[in-house]
Amino acid sequence: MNKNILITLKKEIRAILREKKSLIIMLLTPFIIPFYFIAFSYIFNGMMSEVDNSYTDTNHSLKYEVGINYNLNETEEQIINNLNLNMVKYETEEELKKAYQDEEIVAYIVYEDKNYTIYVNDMDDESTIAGNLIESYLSTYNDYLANLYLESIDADKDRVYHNINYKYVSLEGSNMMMNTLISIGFTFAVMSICLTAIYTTTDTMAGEKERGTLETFLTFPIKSHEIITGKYLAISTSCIITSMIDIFLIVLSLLISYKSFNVYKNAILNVNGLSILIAFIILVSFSLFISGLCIAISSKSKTYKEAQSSLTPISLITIIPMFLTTAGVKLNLGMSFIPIVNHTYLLQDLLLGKYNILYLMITFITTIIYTILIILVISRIYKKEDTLFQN
Amino acid sequence: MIEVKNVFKEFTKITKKKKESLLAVNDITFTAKEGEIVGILGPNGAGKTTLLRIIAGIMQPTKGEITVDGMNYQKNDIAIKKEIAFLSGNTKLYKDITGYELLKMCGEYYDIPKDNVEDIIKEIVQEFNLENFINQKIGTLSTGQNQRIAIARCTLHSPKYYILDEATSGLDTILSQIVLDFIKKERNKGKCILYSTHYMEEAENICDRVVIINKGKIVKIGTPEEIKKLTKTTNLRDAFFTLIGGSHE
Repeated sequence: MNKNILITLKKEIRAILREKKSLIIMLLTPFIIPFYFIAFSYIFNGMMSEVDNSYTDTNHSLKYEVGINYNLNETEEQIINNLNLNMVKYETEEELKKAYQDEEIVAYIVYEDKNYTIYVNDMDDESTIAGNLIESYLSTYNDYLANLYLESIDADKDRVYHNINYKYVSLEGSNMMMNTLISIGFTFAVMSICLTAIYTTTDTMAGEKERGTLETFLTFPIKSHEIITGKYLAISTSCIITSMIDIFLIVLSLLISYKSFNVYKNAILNVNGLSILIAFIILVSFSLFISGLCIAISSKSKTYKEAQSSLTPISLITIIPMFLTTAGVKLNLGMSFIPIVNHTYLLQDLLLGKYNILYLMITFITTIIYTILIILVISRIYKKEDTLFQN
Repeated sequence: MIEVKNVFKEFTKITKKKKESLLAVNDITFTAKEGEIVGILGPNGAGKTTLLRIIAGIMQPTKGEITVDGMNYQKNDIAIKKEIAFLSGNTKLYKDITGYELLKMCGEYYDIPKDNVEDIIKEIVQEFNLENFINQKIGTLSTGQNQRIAIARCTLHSPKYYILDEATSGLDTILSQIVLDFIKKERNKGKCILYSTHYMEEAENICDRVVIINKGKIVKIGTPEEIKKLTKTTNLRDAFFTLIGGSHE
């Protein structure tokens, strides 16, 4: 490497390591990832267990109170005893409505002319669960009556119920919770790299102007492209350090969450040496890109404040892929040309074992092209006097 | 020798309504030789800082040429910068590093061999009495200590030419004297010093020749004695006001 670039790189790295704010952002922001993984998994695991228990645990002390306007026969009572329901008899539909309004019951069934009508409130969790249990009760009772009929006419029940055999296999090998976890996890990772780039760029570029040290620097026997390359490499190095911490914490948190929480029991993770290496390379390429982008955007800024204002929107852009994932949008050819979006998507797809090699190649190649273009632009900008001088 | 030949510098300010141009340096020509202190004098906004930045290679002239020992910036910018030291009143040093680290870093930029740089730093530390604070972070030093480190930095690569822009601006009498003593000492070693100031008494005391500029143009060049004689004044301050057509009251 060119001697002057190396000296500048050393100088800038030393400045970054001695600047507390940049150092904290660079080293500590990735630690939000394990906290998020554990907290998210704990909450969702709890929620899922509660829902599961609601359906299956008949010894559960709290039963769902459901109103009915008819008498249960012995069979119905047996079915209901196996579910987590407590049926309360009322005489009329009006009484049922009033009982629901008075919160004595969470749902009710009106039986009229051999028709059952189930009344539930979809906005209320307890009422929804009770509704599902009622459907289960009526379905089981319906099957019981069908069985009785088939027996009475001496029909072959298998010809009615078991004409075909099937089993359920999840092709994606993952579950929604794991997708969400990884999506938000990598959004945090990309965001932490962005924050590192923003803080180190602000200090390295605008800070040098605001402190008045740039004039000293420009008198040294060094070309402007050597100054900017040294600065660029220092900012990129900081981002790569953040990337390394990110990837280590993501893999560690993912494995701990996967093994510790039942909510991920159906998920298949693609965590191995190769996937970790590719994920790290994606984060490194992203670091090189975002460092250049931050320098280009803040190059005209003369003060910390100006630089911060111009760079803050970048950190907001990083959450777009998370929203797209939540909306069910998948990575496609067009999106694989869009930086930040393609990086975040590829990272999450990679660890879920479903990445597309074409999109991966497009992301790498376009990132390299964008980064080279940005470096050329910032080298030109950094020669201009209106970029270098305050007034 | 530094030769400034027909140098112009135009700044353009583009606002929403119009494009404004300002000629900060307007056809300036002069020379500065080894062993002399050339004062660049002028009121605020005269173009002194812009002119010295152009000579130091920090800015590009819009037109004209600067040569240093026959070399120009287009072809030999790095070689020229190795022969020049620039110190400005606005120049700040890196606060998060120590004086020693700064000097060592400068040594690397100026290609001073590693074996020599330690000896040179030792000599400089002794010469400028930096022993007590050379290993302290620059941000913790007083203004005077900062200025001594800044001057030490300039001498590290033993330049032939010093470009000092308002180097005593804002300093108290004692600190100003440190800078002025340094300038005289370097002149006696045969170095060439370009020195801008708006302190006329200071310029009269140390400058061998002065270049008086106003509104980007040279008003007069000569020794302080020649200028006083020409303007029929007894001191450079009066001569200055006579030449620029202003009043010092």
